[in-house]
Amino acid sequence: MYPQKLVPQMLCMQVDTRHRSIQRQLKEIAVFPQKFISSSHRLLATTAMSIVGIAGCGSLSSITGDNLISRHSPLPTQQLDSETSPELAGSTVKGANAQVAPAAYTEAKSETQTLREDSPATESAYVSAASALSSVGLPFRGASCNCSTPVPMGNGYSASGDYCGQTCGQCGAVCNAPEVARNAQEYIFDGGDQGQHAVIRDDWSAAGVEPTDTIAYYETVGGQICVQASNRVPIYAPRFGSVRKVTGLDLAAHAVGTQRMLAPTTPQRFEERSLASSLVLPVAPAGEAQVNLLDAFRENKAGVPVDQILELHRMSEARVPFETFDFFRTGRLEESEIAVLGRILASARTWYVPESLGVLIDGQDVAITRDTMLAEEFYVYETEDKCSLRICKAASHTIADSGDTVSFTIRFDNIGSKPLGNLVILDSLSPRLDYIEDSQQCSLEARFLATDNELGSRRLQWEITEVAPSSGGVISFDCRVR
Amino acid sequence: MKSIQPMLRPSGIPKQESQGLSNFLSPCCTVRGLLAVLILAVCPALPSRLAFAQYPVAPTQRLGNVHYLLDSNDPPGYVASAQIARGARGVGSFQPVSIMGPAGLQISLAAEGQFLHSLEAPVTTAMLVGSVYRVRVTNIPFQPGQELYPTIEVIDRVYAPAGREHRYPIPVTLTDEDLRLASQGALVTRVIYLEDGEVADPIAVEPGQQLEHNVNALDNALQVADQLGRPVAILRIGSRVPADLTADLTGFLYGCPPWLPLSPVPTREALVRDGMWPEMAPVVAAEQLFSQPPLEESPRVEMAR
Repeated sequence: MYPQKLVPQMLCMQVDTRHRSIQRQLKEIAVFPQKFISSSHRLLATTAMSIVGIAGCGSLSSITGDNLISRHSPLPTQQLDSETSPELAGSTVKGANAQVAPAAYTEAKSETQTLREDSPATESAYVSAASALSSVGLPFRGASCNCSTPVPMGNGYSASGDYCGQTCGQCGAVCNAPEVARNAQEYIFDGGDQGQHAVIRDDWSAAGVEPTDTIAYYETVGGQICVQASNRVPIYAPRFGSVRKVTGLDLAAHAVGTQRMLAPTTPQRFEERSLASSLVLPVAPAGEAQVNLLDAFRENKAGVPVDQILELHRMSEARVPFETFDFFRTGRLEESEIAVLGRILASARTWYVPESLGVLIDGQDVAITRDTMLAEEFYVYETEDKCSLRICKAASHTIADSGDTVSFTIRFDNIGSKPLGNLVILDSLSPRLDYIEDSQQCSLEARFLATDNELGSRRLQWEITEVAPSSGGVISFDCRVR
Repeated sequence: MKSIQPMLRPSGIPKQESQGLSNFLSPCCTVRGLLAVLILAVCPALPSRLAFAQYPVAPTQRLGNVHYLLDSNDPPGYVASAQIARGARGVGSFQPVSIMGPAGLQISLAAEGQFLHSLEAPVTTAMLVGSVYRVRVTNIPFQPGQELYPTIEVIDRVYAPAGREHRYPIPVTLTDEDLRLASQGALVTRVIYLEDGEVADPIAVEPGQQLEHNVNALDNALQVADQLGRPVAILRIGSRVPADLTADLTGFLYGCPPWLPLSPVPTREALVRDGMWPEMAPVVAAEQLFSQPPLEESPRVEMAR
């Protein structure tokens, strides 16, 4: 049985570790006034976008970028300086529960990265350059003009922030149509299923998994094979190269002429189109078999694992006597408590809900019979197996240089009501990412394989035998940017 | 700067989309072809072995149905003018450019028709996309008194995240070999490109290191760079010098386009040393080996005390 406590605690553990570093930085920020805090807000839009990209899958869609930005502006130092990571998670996510831990983890990491990579000294220099340029009447579209500053959209395209047809206040440029630009060369992507869609072969291997793809495929109880791709994670890491050519008087010894000349090609002959000599009529169906469709069914779709332990500090024991049992705290029903529980439930109902009437006969609750008619027919419906795996991927950095180490985290959950088996999670890395050997770890028992892919990078594979309903796991690994 | 020779791109991996310059087609290509035919027609005495010399095969994969009108042999400003004419993105905006070189190299930028005082490399400025800048290079190693006047043609920009543009300048590198060849009379053309991350060479580079490809004199360096990524700048180092340094050098400076001074980005160690950045414990996650599955109580990252 999958321990449901493991995943949230692992994530919270990571948040705690990162959170300690954030606390250490924030203590330093308290020493150094506003320059760190002000500069750390520049990337919040970018980091929020990555979080929104993660939130686009599954139940994490309750997170919105607006919430993140508005909550952090201005930066609540006391809030971030709080002690525990659940408070950090609960402050940014609606409906805080245990499943929001990945968002808190990503946010904490993004905060860490923001605080690390900003350099306040050069920020001021660049802004001063922008102001100097605007003073001479030239447009500066580098940092101060938002209308032409592209924002990565996650799929390799970037769009300008303000394409309203109005005049930009700082640069004077008119932002007309939305400028969708292709700048995929500057990003390292990982995740998704680009190009040809993945196909599963009979030998349970996958085809069509190109570099940068991350997919998971598995088998349902009914034998259906499902393929699920993760979200796509962009990391801004441009790498430059140069092509050199040396020419000179002593080097140019060859005369350049045409290689060959092509004469215009004319058709050699013409063929008349011959008419069809035979005609095949389509075969009509001999009969039709009526297919009865489902008239109604109820989908038993369970949620993601939620820790059910609730602290009973809001009411006294005398007023709510039934809450003192473990069944209400943990959801587990102990055999020794069944008898007492039944009696107390009946009594408590009469005590605690004054508007309702309760009937007791010898201390036992009376069963209410509403209808005496027996069922004449039974229909058993087999509902279709549904692909019910949610897979999300996150990176520790949104900006990286060559030589940096980037950590990736893959969170997968079975959000269905039936177990799934033979789960294989494939991650074919970008050629710009170098997998650090033995850095992977999986919260479930998994068989790990690392092979070379087509572009000289690594293809990581985790094989998990079974994932129970309402459970999941976390995979993390580290890569070095080439 | 150390240069490394990358591997060739594996065959069968097509580039998804031809970028930038390769889309620039015009009827002029036909005119060029006709001119070549006419020259051959009026020069019957040309030896056949020269007229039909075999072209060397480019080291990278050729794109189909793409005719490259622009060439790296074109004079400075030709490619930038073509970018302006077709309304390319980024034209008219300022792009940070960092001019690097060996230790002690002096770089002089120009303003108002004259060269300014020299600065020690690396020099980072914001240059106008679509313009040609000429700089003066002095204090070349092992060549005292030698001066070179290379040109930098900025033909495209980089789309860094907002507020981080200065952290990702276009690296223009003047190597020792390039400076020596230029001093001996050669013309060194270096097309700087932004590598396509999806089909990049799987080679690990250090920070500040740059991939380098060498092509033959008959190859189009711009075409090779376009197949490897997106060309952003062209560096030309020749031995051309101005006739009179005290005269008006506006023509020699290609109109002396404006530029902006930018402070070099300090490293994290320098910021910590100056007390402008908190000293943090290094993350040792990359060096740790995880031979056992993690427990609930074991933290993933051990912070150094």
